[in-house]
Amino acid sequence: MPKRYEIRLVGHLDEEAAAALAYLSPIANGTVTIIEAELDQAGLHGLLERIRTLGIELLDVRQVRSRQ
Amino acid sequence: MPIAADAHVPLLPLPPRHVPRPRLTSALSAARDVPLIVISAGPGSGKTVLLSEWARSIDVPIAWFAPTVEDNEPRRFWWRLRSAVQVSGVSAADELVAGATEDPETASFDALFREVQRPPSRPLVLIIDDAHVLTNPAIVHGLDTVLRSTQPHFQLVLAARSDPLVPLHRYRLAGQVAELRAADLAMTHAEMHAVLAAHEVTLPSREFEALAARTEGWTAGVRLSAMRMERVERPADFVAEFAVDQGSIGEYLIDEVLDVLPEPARRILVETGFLDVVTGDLAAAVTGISGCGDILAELARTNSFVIPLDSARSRFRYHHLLGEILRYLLQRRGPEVSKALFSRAATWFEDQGDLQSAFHWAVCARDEARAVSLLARGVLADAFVHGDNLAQSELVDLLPLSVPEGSDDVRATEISTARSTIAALTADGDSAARALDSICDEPSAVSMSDPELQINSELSVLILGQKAGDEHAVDRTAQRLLSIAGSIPREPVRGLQACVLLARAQARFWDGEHDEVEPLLRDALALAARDAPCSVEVAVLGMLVLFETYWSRHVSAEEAEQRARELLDASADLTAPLTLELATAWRGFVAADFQTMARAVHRCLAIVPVEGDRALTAAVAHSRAQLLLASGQVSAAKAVLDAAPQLGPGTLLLQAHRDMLLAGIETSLGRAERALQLLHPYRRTSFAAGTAICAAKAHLALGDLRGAEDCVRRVLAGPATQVARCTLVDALLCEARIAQLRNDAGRALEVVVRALEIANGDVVIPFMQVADVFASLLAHHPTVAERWPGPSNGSDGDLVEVTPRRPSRLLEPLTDRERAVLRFLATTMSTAEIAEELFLSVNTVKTHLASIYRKLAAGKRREAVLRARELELL
Repeated sequence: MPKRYEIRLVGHLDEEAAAALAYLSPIANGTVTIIEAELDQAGLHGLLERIRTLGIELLDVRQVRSRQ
Repeated sequence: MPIAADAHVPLLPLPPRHVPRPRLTSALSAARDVPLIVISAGPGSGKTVLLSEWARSIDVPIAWFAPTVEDNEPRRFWWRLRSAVQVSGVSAADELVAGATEDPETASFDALFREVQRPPSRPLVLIIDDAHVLTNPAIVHGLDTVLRSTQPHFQLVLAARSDPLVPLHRYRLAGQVAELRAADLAMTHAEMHAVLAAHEVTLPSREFEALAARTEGWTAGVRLSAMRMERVERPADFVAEFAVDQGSIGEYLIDEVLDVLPEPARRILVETGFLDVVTGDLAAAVTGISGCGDILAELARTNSFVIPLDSARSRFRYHHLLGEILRYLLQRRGPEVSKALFSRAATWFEDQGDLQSAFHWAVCARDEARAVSLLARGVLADAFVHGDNLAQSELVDLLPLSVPEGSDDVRATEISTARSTIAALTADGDSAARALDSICDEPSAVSMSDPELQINSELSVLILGQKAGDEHAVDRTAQRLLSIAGSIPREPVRGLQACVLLARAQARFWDGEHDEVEPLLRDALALAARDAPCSVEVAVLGMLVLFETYWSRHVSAEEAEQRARELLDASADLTAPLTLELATAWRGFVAADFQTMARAVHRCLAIVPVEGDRALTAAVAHSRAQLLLASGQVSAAKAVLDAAPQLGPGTLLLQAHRDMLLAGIETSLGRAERALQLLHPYRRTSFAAGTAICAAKAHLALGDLRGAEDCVRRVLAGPATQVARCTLVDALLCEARIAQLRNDAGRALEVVVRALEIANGDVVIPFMQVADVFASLLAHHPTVAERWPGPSNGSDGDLVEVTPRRPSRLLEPLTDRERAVLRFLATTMSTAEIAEELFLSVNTVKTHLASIYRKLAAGKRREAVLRARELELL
């Protein structure tokens, strides 16, 4: 059931956010930070909530093809 | 023996026709060595039922806690968690959680936690259901700390609709978490067969496969389908229809299940789905159906989507899947139907005296007449007493309130009262000040014969006064309110009078008019203890603590604080008032315990409302600036003071406090002249003493010993209004500095010793500020240096000796002059020296001494000092 998602965040992560999300190896790309992760629904919602509490602006979330 | 049989833990009853899931319960039991279990899957996956089943099967004490959104607040959360753990009977674990409640909002949390070293006597499984509501960083951090510091005696189980915010990845890396996720919770074919069998449903294998594919093993989907097919002749037909339906399966299934319910039950569900908590009585009032209580209880027995909230089955809530569908079904019946139901709910809540809920539903029902009448008569007082905020959006929704054609006078007055209430509640500080000005111009239009409306409009003015930081307006309005309240037989809202007395005491306090503060607070306390919500008593006690702390009367302050803490501990719904936290900050400052002060200021900043009481907001800002100054951050302190809210009339104490801080900053920046200008206006006020010390320091910075000495004299010998002990110590240390600058080391030493005696170990801050000034003096006199107080590290080891005891009062109070003499009794000064210090003759001092001894019933000087300390005159 887990699927691969790409989550794009506005701007660069500050120190606290970078530490909290380090395990997902976020990638900075211009003015956007990109996170990719394999998640089920509960995992996806949990991650979005974590992003919300860190005060980061969410740009978009989309499902991407699993990298086998 | 399984613990559930004898434990007091109220486990949720297993749903009707429950099918055990040994596959999952044994997976949970197998994880006994990991500190954290996470069950993370969407709604309706069977998380709660699984945990109920597992909890019944294990032989370990269990604490169960299902927080709601309101519990996503640290103090309340830890309090409720502690109660849950207490029920489990594991006492040490209780201490553990109690430790966590102390100060969950600051960085010192971990340190606090490490102090609790005793592990729980028995292992404990703590289940937190619905853990996804816990998003407050302080709570998440606290849980993480609990886990790290208590393994392996403590197992935490978090069940959540989305991943809980504790750092799961870290636990995964360390192999310290077991997880059950949606894929694990999905029903296997065997489990689906068992559920269908429990409902006596048999399906041909093709239809069974279709059902499995459509529900993907989603527990709620399987259960709902089984309920729907029960006692149906051709269940396969249902599956065929279900399989081709394109909509949401939850919606489809619940719709189907509701369809087969008897009419009254179905109607009750649809028509009460908008309520968070339903009772039979409320449901009957809303739906007009009799016997609702029995029908709801029966639904809870047969249907796992109506959940009883107590063992007597008198209060219920709906499974949120059901609730969502019910609200949707109600919406489909059109806005008029909903409005009628909301309106009946409003009537019921009004009859129950829950005015705020009544107001909420009246607004939802767009019942403007009722909302206006509630707002003009009681809702404001109710919210004021309980310290609640009415939803701004709902208030603004009511605007513009126009007076309909043909309204009578009472109605017109109600509407204008409601309008001014909304204006007061939605005002910010600046617009509040403007609104106050316009009120002074036009007399109130409220008909004098209606005290309810009068109280409401006066309360609006009082709130405007607090928002504008105009304590004169607060004082005047409070006085008027008290006379109106005194003229009617019964308070419109319990606790109103106590709250108004409190507001008045506060107003006088901020203005430095302290004679009446204590009597006002004592009256408020007596009223509050007799007949008011607990929150009122706590609020009054908080102010009392602040007042006593201001005057360094630590025994009285501690006594009031202890009572406040008892009340706070007894209820999860109360939070410590700002005044109590501010008092802690002040006490921390005087004792130079900056860690305690920082924590208290931090808590103040967390709870200070955005547009609330300006005076309190300013006081918090001053404390913050004081803290920054203590750590040498002068420009940051200045910025905080500059950003503090503008103060209105009647706030002399706060203005003096601010200007003293600013003067200190100016002096430290080498602009002592400007400091003196700032302090000059206070020379003839009740803040002459405190400001004189600041001025003395400015004179010292300018090298003007004469000017400094004049200022110090004004404190020590001037009109002997009561001077707080901290100010007195400060004055003596200034005097010692002057002596030292005149190369009179003997005199300097003598005065320093006197200051140490008066400080009595609990006034520290003045010594900290001049430690380097006296460095060489102290180097030559090690015995004095030994007594020189240092910053406290927050340990309270030496507080053990304090016995909080209500000091009795003096039958005959001391005169100001006697008080001035009394202050020096604690020192080693002789009578002649005291006389010299106070510019009095020796005989006069002897006369004062005689009457002091008489009034204190003391035979000797030492006895008089002890007695005076006991009475907090020293």
